[in-house]
Order: sequence, then C-alpha cells, then structure tokens
Amino acid sequence: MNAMPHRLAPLLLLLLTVGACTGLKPLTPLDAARKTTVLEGCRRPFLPGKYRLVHALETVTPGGAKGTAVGVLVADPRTLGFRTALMTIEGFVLFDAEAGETLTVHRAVPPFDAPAFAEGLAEDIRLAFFAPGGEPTAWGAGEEGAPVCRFKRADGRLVEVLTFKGGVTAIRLYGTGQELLKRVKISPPERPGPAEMVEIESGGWPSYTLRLRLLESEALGDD
Amino acid sequence: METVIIAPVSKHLKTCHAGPRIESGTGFDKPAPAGCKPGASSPILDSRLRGNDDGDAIRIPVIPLFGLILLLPLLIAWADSWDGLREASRRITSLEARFVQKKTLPMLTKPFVSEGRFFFQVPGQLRWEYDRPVRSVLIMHSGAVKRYLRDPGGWREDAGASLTAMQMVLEEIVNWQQGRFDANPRFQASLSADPEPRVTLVPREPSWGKMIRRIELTLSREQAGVMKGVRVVEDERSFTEMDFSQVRLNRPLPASLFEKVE
Repeated sequence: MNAMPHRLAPLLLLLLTVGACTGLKPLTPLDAARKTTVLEGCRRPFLPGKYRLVHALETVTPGGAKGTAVGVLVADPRTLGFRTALMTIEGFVLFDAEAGETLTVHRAVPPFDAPAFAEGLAEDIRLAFFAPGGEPTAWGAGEEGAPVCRFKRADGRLVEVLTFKGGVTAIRLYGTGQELLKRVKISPPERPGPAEMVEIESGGWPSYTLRLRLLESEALGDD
Repeated sequence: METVIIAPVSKHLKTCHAGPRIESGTGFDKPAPAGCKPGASSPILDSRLRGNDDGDAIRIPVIPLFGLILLLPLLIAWADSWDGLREASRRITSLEARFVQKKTLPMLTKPFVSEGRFFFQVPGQLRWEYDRPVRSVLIMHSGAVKRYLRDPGGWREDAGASLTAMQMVLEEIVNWQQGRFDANPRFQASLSADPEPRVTLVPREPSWGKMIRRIELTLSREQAGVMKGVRVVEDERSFTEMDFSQVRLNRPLPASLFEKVE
C-alpha cells in the first residue's frame, strides 16, 4: 500500500517541472528607446492585410499519428474575420467554417463536426495569423534575450510574442491562470509575404500539433 | 484485350441517345427520342452514310461499312448501356494514367491544381499518386487502404481521420473501374450519351446529398472501358474535376506498385 506514493512521486515531480517551464517568466527591461522596434518586430509575423492562403497541413495527434490535409484560408486582420476550408489531398472538403462576430460552420464531416474542433481551429487561426490588438501590457527581453511583447486579451488570456535571433518567432497563449495553452512557431520567411512554415502546438486535451506549409498566397484588396 | 481507338471512324457516327438516360436498375433502355427511327439500334449513321428522309439512294462504301459493322459493338455500344460498360471494363486488366485535378471553391479565385498518376490492377488494386503540390500515395491492396506522405524525412504513413472516408472512395473507384457504376445502393446511377457518354451518380440519402450533390463520370469514346474525367460536385460552386490523360491499358504492372510506396 505504501508503494503507491513512492511510484507517483517522480510523476508529480515531472508535472511540477513541466509546469514551471511552461508558465510566464519574468522579463528583463530593455531601453525605452527600443520600444518601437520591439513592437514592430512583434507585429511582423502576422498578416499585414487580407490574404488568401493555401497550406499543406500536417496534424500530429497523441501517440504520434500523422495526417495531412490541404487548408484554404481567407483572412482579414482588420476585421478579424476569416473563412477556412480543410480538404483531403483528393479534394474532398472535410470542414468549412466562417468566423466574424460569430463562428459559422458550413460543412463538417465526422470527426470534424465536434464544436470543440471548430472553436479550437478558430483559436489557432487567430493566434497564428492575427496580431494581438492594442498596446502590449509588458515588453522586454525574454528567454535567450529575445525581444518579447505581452498582450492581454478581452477574455483574460495573455498572448506573448517572442522574436528570436535568426528570425524565428514564437507566439504563446496563456490561460487566466498563466498556464501555457498553445504555442506557435513561425520560421523565418525566405521571401517577403506570409510565413512559409507555421507550427501550432496545443497542450489541451486532446493535444495536437499542426504544421502548415504554405503552397499558395495571394494578397487581396479591400472588398 | 487491345486498346481500341475509334476516333477516326466515330466522327462519322452519332448516337440516337441525345437525351434519354438509362437509370440503374431498369435493365432496359428507354424509348428512342424523337428523330430516331423506330427499330434503329441506339447508335445510328449520320445522313452522309444512310438514306435521308426523302428516300435518296444510299451511298455507302462497302468496305468501310463492313469494317464499321464489325467494330460497332466495341466502338459505340460500350457506353450505351450498363451491360456495355461492364463488358468493356471486363476487358481491362490494368490501367495507368496521368491526371490533373482542379479543386474549385468559392474561396479560391482560381482552382487549386494537383497532378499525379493513377494505377489500377484487377481485381481491386489501386495506386493514386500525387506528384504535386503535396506528394502523397494512396494504395488499396487486398481491401486495405494506406496513405503515405512525403516529408523532408522521407515517406511516412498517414493516419489521419480522412483515411476512413478515402477507403469508401477507393472502393467506389474499384467499382467504376470494373464497370459496376450502379453497384453502390447509396447512389442512383444514370447513363446519358450526349454530348459525351456520361454516368451520373446522385446520392439517394439526403444526408449524403448534403456532402455530395452528384458525381459525373465522363467516359471515353476513344477507349472502351476508360473514364476521361470525374467531376465530384459538392455544390454548384464547390467541385473537384479530375481529367485523365496518357491512359494505357493492360500493360503488366509490377505488384510492388500496390504494396510499397516506392
């Protein structure tokens, strides 16, 4: 009977360690003169205007199982509205949804018909493609000296944008308890325009990773 | 079975099926449309080769006509009836083709284009390979479906949720390749001949109809038993078109094509 707590101890230690690694870390203040540059860097990885993007999308689910789809996204950062469709490589549309003030699912083939899937996908798109609004609540230097901006959202969550040397951008979404919910990694662009590689990692349940490889992009004018 | 090229002679022919459709399950052709003489076989000769309505003398070269009569069952009848489709497909033991796939969506200003190769081997082995823009291979072997994707680390097996849906699609394609267009009870199949031989599949169940409005399979006039194109219509503004080219029939295909990704 007494063996159980001993067996659980390493697990408990591991959970505490992971928790410690994933929470918000204190920032090192930077010279105030750098604020504009830091803020510009924090907004750079996001869409500058309305775009149509086509991605090869790789999903990795718990256990390492991988799947691939093609994602089409028309997103407008000014309105924070978007329409997205996921389809098989063979062209069969699995999911089609539109978000403006509300999220409308036009088509969802099982297992993509769960409301949580639509909400999770919408959150991923907003996090990876739309710059957080307003002024940052904090800015400075974070891990590896990377410039960081932190933005508080209306729902109480916090978005953190880090720009690492070499051009890799990390976007992190923290819950109201400062727990890490999602993580986005944007590879440095090889040419002007939207990011060519985006990786979204969600720590919720079920956890998953999405890897987006840009196939086509088109800047769209005002409607 | 040999590939039959009918283009040189078929331009002198037209069918009497401009309009009537053969519904699956009826077993009989519907009556000929107005303008077709009663008793005429479905395909008829045009006015250059038969007597006109005024009873003018028939001016038909004997040898071409003889050849034509011999070829008729192969050239025309194959796409005129379910039996014809099945019979023509029975002569195909393997098929390989290139394809261009165009996906049209209201969200896209121009279709999203993919290209690849398609292989079929009786009784039910398929390899559906995309070369660009996303390299992937879908293999159906002994009823089992596997998909492989190429990433920087090489080929890896795909275990995405869409694979289940694709199993059903591949089984359907095997039915089509064997001329069993009316085999799936979920779809109402109809056959029309004008402007091109075409099988149209419409879901019987409303729940399926929400996903796929219809599937149109355009058959080749030039190659008996061969599909020229597939159009899957999700709605009038969302559809997938696949056009086949460089179709080669009945060449021996290596078994590994349906067993291994490379």
